[in-house]
Amino acid sequence: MSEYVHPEVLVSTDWVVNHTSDSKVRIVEVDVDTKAYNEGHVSNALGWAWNTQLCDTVRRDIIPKAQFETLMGDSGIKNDTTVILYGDNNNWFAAWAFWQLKIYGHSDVRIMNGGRKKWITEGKYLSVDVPRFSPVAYKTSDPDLSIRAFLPQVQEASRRATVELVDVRSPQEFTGEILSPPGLPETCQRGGHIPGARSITWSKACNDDGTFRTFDELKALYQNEGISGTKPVIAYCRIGERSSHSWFVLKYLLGFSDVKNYDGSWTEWGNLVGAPIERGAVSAVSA
Amino acid sequence: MELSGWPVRITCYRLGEKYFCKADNVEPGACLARSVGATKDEAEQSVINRAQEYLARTRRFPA
Repeated sequence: MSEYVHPEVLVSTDWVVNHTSDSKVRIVEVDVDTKAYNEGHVSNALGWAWNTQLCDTVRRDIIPKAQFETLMGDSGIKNDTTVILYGDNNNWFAAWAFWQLKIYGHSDVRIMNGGRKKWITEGKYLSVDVPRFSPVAYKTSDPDLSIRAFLPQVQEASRRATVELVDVRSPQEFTGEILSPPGLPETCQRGGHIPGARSITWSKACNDDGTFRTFDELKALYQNEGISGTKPVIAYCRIGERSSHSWFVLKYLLGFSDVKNYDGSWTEWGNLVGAPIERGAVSAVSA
Repeated sequence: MELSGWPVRITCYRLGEKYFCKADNVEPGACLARSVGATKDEAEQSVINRAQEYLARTRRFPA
């Protein structure tokens, strides 16, 4: 069995148990909302709210550089701190945070494999104490936008097919049968997918316990859909969090050199006036 | 478990004297609702009710 191309970006739940009091390590939980964190979390873990602390709350965007520096500094994170991210929904929003930390150039950031789900399943200790850390100075460079796709790049990719578009939503969202995951608010005007996109659901990258599948399994999953890393890849979903999970898999576990997360995703494309949309069946060669 | 025609996974755990439940929609695995109760049954019924309410709003379109 082959190893991930960048195994250093993953830590196990047992590794985390042994580093909850490590001053060089900062553990952060990032969930779909903060209720889960408030119920109980890994000892000494901070909780970040993705929708207020990792998003610009006025315009639709990631947080600006200055706000990012404040978030990191207020969390007691120095430029050389090892940041461990984990969360619910199989680490969706932990991956979203990971992606932003990489945009702003934090060098040592890792994901707890299996996330909150595995931690709880294993019966590991959950704390309700909210830790306090002394603020520190944190400085970042300009954002690395090579890992982020914007609408014009996606439109170009769809027109010219020089880039692989990967839709990581569920097959029912891909075909247009539903506009959002069951039970969640509809946030687009139209259903379907970006013309030329392949459907490779994010969850196929995970085992039942929330951990990532092996390198060989992941490689086969994407190769079966013609995604081998020879062409640049843009991943998208509905709001960009599931696709940051797939971006993480493609970029760090499979080691593809040019992978972007399109965080505008379907809530941007599916609301655009005049944008071309494909509906209907998932490709015949789906895994 | 199926609610309003959609598969749903209910996860419960106990922390101290409280029971916490979470309902997710299996695919894509997004959390739909959370609840807390003095007993497991109470927390479970509460999360089922809320999940059912949200799922009933999901519209299906011909694909």
